[in-house]
Amino acid sequence: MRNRSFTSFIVRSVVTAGIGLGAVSLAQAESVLRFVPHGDLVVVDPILNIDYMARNHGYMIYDTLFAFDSKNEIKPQMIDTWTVSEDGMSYSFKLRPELKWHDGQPVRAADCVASLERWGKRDSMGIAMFAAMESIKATGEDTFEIKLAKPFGHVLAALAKTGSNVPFMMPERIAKTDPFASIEDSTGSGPFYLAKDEWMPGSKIVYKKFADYVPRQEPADFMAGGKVAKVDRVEWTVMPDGATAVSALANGEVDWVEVPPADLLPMLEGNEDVVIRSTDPFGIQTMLRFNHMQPPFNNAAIRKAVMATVAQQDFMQVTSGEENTETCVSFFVCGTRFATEAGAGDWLKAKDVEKAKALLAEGGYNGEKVIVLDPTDDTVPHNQTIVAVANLREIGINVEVRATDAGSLFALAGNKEPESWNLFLTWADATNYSVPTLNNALRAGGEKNASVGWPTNEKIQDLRNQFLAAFDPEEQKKIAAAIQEEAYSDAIYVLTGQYKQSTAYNRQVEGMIDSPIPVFWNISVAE
Amino acid sequence: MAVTDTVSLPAARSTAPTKGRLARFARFVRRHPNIAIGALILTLIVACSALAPLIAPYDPDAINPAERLKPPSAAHLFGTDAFGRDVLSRVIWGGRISLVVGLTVALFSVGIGLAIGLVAGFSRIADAVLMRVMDAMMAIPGILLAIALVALTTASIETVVFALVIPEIPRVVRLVRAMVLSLREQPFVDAARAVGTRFHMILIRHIMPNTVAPLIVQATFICAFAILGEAYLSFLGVGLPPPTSTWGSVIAEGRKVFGLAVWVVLFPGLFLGFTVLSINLIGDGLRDILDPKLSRRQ
Amino acid sequence: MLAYTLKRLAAAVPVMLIVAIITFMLMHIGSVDPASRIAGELATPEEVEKIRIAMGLDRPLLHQFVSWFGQVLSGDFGTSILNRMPVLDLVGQRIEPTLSIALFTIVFAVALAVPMGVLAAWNAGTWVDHLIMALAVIAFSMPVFLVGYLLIYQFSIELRLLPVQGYKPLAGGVGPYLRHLVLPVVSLGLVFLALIARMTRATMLEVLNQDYIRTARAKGLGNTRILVLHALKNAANPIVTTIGFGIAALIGGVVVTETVFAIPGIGRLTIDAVIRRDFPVIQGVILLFSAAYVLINLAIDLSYALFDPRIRY
Repeated sequence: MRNRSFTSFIVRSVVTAGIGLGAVSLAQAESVLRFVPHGDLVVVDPILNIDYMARNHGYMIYDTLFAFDSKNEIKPQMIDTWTVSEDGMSYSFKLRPELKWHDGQPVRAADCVASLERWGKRDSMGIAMFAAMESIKATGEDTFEIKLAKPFGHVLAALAKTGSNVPFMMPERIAKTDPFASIEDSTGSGPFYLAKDEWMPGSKIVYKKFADYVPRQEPADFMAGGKVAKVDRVEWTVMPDGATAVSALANGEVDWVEVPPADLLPMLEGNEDVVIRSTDPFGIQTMLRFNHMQPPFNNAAIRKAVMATVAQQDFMQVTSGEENTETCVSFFVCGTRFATEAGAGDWLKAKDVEKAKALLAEGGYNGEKVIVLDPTDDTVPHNQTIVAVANLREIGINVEVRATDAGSLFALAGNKEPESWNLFLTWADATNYSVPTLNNALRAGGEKNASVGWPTNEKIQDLRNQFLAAFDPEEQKKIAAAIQEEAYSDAIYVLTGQYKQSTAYNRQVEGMIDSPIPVFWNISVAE
Repeated sequence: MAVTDTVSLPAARSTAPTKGRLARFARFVRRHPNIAIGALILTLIVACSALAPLIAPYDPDAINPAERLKPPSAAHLFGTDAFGRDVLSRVIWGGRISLVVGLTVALFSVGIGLAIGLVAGFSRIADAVLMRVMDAMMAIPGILLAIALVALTTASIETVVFALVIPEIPRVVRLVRAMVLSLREQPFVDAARAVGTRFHMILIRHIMPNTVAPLIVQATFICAFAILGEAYLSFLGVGLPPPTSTWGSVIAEGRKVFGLAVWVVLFPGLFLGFTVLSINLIGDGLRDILDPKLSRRQ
Repeated sequence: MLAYTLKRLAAAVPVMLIVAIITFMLMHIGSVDPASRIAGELATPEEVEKIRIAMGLDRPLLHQFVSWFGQVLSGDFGTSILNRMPVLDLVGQRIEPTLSIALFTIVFAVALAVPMGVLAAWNAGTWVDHLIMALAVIAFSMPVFLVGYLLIYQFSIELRLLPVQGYKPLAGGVGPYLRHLVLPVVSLGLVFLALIARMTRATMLEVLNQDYIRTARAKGLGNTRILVLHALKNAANPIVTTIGFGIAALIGGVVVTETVFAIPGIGRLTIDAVIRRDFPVIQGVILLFSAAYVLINLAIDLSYALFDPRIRY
């Protein structure tokens, strides 16, 4: 008896293992793209959380109403047709037919209205749009309308925006979630869906092709056009160590590393199977931000003293690893439509220790401790922090460095109390900073209406409001230049440079979309 | 031993003091080669760190982006890191903090552990409570406890030392308590009690001296472990904040460019390894000398 | 035996309760709260407060502790406040790599260390002894990550023999599974090898001096038989104790190894949770680790009877 049950156990195990192996070989028959993202997906809610990982996850599984193409023009995505009234105060939209959620239900206009309402409580542009709005409501199964109470020139731009928080569409039942609590159900209508049973937080996120997705007919172009999923399965493997990721790519263990550390690129350069290039048409801006509420950086002269120590060349060398690097003095991202040199003068071209010391004296710096937050796991700002700290010490500033991680940085920086922090370095991609009203670091409404650092500058606030109401592109450019001039003269924050992040992938990966956001439609993996 | 020698051989001292001392030293080295080797390595490393301002060729924090990631050369014996900083200078300076952390952790763990252990050894009620707490602390993996302690507060030398001391305490407490319990039953303690010696005098005169030798041995191992522990914390990203160079943080920084510039990890790693090795050698040697039961086996 | 086991289990209850209290207290000395982490760069204090309330972080400490501990007793270790997955599921996903590394490390270390220790004891005082003991103290002193990186450099980058990183579950085939374990196990195993080799040597020296070994020799038994049948059997207990003692250190080592080799085990789970202040996960994992430690040591105590018939409980 005992023996028999043991035998049957063996038989069962062998059969199960056989089935298991069969399943494995079947799984290998489906096409897989193995990707190493720049970080981990911590929170799955791209409306609650502004983390780039949450946004990139959003582009996998959700769809948007409108989208920008590579020429920065706004194109419909989920929307089929739309009309705008003569006075620009009333918009009506009609959804494309046959759009489905991952659970098989049709996408309704009411879902989109609920999604926009939730987004309108979290996103700064959404908040501005809803403040200008008289009403938003579904007018049919697949139609809805927005009526404005006062002029707002950016309705479509807001619906198409690519910077966090992106207005992703969710089913109404999920969009009803408290905007201050995380959603738990990741049902979307995007070209891929989240395989929740295979998700291993901190290690692996698996997406599968959504068979019922109906892509647009136009070819894929940046975030616009047809989002055709050409692989069955996308695996995001989280690797906290960039060196490991690069070695894994060199060994053919993964297909695509989003952000290989610049210093390690030489390891891949001789490898014929690997392509290294920048897929980001604009680049990433890096910056040094001050706490305007606490001494010593509540004093413009002392902020300028720090600006005088910054030669972008120094910062870019430890960022891109190249000898000769581009520099950029525009707060609105060089290479985009609002870029300007207004107000920059001689700043940021060379380190001027004498000028810095003179400015320190002028500002009456008397040895206050400057606390620098250092996100040690985020290579670029971490490397720049080391350069900045050496500069600050050189002009006689008393520096204390506090280590943290990238994810906690903004939480720590949210602390307004004395002795919490005075300065940190960070980065932003062009999607967020190329438009004056999106550039959060330049919001200057003080404690109540600004991003961390809480600069106060009424002139900038006035100009930002003028920009929001302006429709004429030339007028908008003029206002942008005026904002930048004021930002330099008050040293709101210091641009430490702009660079193009290279990405590295296996030669077999084809059809990658050029974008700062890694998107997976249109990509196929050759056998 | 030295005392017996001078008493029993007064003539030898007067005729050839230097030779006698040398001979004794040579004999000591022969008998305890591990202590001799350990002491030699440790002295060299401590001297390097102590004299850092004099012998380090560069400012350890001075960056020089033009000289990034250069392999070892005459100008930079250990090469340069991703910021063009001189690895040799960072290793020499880094030793200071690593060694101070090791020493401080050893002192505090033994001091606090001794105090708690003595209380537990003498008071039945305190014993029951304290030992349960110690059991609980032993059950939590030390490195996890340390990581949590540092990561949840703000990293500084004080918090790193604190985080490394806490997991060490229960081991010291157990050792001290066991010794006190056995010493209590010894005839000389009974005798002291019988002649009316006060309790605290028994403690100071009789019990504490007898716990010193094993505690010294324990302290060396704690010191070695703490130096490694600090390196592990830095490695995992919860150690002292960056420009500060400790061996652990130099390695943690270097591992990002490890595939290209192996020297940034290798040299601090070797210094760290050799320091821990030398302290372990000394600890082994001391145990052989101080623990007669073990030394008999040799 | 049963009575003893029950008594030991009962004694573990207050220990685990204190572990729970210590773990819970840990979470409330922090300088960053998870609510502001989720809220992000643009959140106002009012928004952070709303998130904090939604997460239940505004309730009194004691209240939070009692409700958490009550759930733990009923087998519910809570849910990650970030990814909303049950802590037990998170641990379940990651237990295989960690257990694999731990088990293979112990097997690797014991398989090499016991013969080394016996050899050293048998040749006590000779160069063989000195060489083995010198190697042991060196292995004991080398940082795990240094060994790990040197192995990666040599075997993965230069020779391309073994994978650089990652873990392949056993279900995906024995070959890939073992290939991914070699380097992590060797780099972590050296420390244990050293520890156990030293212990084996010391115990064997003591046993070899015992009368019955001399008797066995006098009876003309071969060296191998004496070593295996008599000496090693008697030396088993202290060696097993060392392994039990090393479990805590092993767990610490696993954390570092998993980082070096990017292995999705419980060590990485804990580090990530600590850095992100994901309190339920930290509490759950530390509690589970501690329970494992207590149980393993209980098992080891009970195993003494197996090796030594003189011990009865």
